[in-house]
Amino acid sequence: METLLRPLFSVYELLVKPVAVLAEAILKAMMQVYDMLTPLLAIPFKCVEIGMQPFERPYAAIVSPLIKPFGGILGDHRLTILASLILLGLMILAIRLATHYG
Amino acid sequence: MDTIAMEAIYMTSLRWLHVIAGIIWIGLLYYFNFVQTPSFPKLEGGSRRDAFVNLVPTALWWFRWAALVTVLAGAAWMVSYGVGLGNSGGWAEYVDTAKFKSILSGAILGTIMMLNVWLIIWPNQKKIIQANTDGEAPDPAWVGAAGQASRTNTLLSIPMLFFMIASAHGTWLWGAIV
Repeated sequence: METLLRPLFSVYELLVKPVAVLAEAILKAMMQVYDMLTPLLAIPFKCVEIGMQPFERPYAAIVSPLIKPFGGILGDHRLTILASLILLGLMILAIRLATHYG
Repeated sequence: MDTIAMEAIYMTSLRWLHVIAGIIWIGLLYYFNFVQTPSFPKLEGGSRRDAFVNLVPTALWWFRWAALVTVLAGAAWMVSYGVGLGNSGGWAEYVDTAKFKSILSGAILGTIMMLNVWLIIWPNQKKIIQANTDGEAPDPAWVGAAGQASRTNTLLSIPMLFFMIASAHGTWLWGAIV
């Protein structure tokens, strides 16, 4: 089988190799441009990081007390998944009731 | 290229960006909750410190940016569709559909999850990584806050994914309005 396929592989390699070499050269050139732009690309990332910081304390002050009572459920991932499925069931039930009676 | 083709490319690109970023985000969320959190306490001190210094920051980089990109791409898609792109009938028609109600339910959960990532998990993880880098024990309050917000996101993720998918495959949920 291998003997039969070998000539096919040779033809394949002959056709594909120049394409692969060209593709690699193009991609490497693109990566060089990307590397040159990296310091510029870092600016928007940094802006978002800094922009989020003033909201950290007020958001945590609101959300942390809301999730604190569920500490037991949120301490074990099996209970978390079970609670997630129950929450989904309750949401579906609420929607069905609302669309039926609403 | 005509306007309709350009619109289709734009809307499809946004949808795929949303889906791919979403897979990265939720994939890493499940990795943190189902793989990393149960495994790290079993690692020896030196290995755990190495993981916190070299592995966790990279995982968290992809995690938080994927969360933001997912929400922004999803919001951009919804707004674009609402203003009439993608062969829609505009906001007035869109908001009355099961598709919109379902995606909005998922979007609300997804937005809460993204805010939990950026405003609770990441700030606390930064302090935990820094403590590990300095060779100090992190404050249990930081670990607790980050862990609880991460578990909350896991809790919300199943309903969020359900409603996202239901916008295309679960319109029965909303009764007669399709």
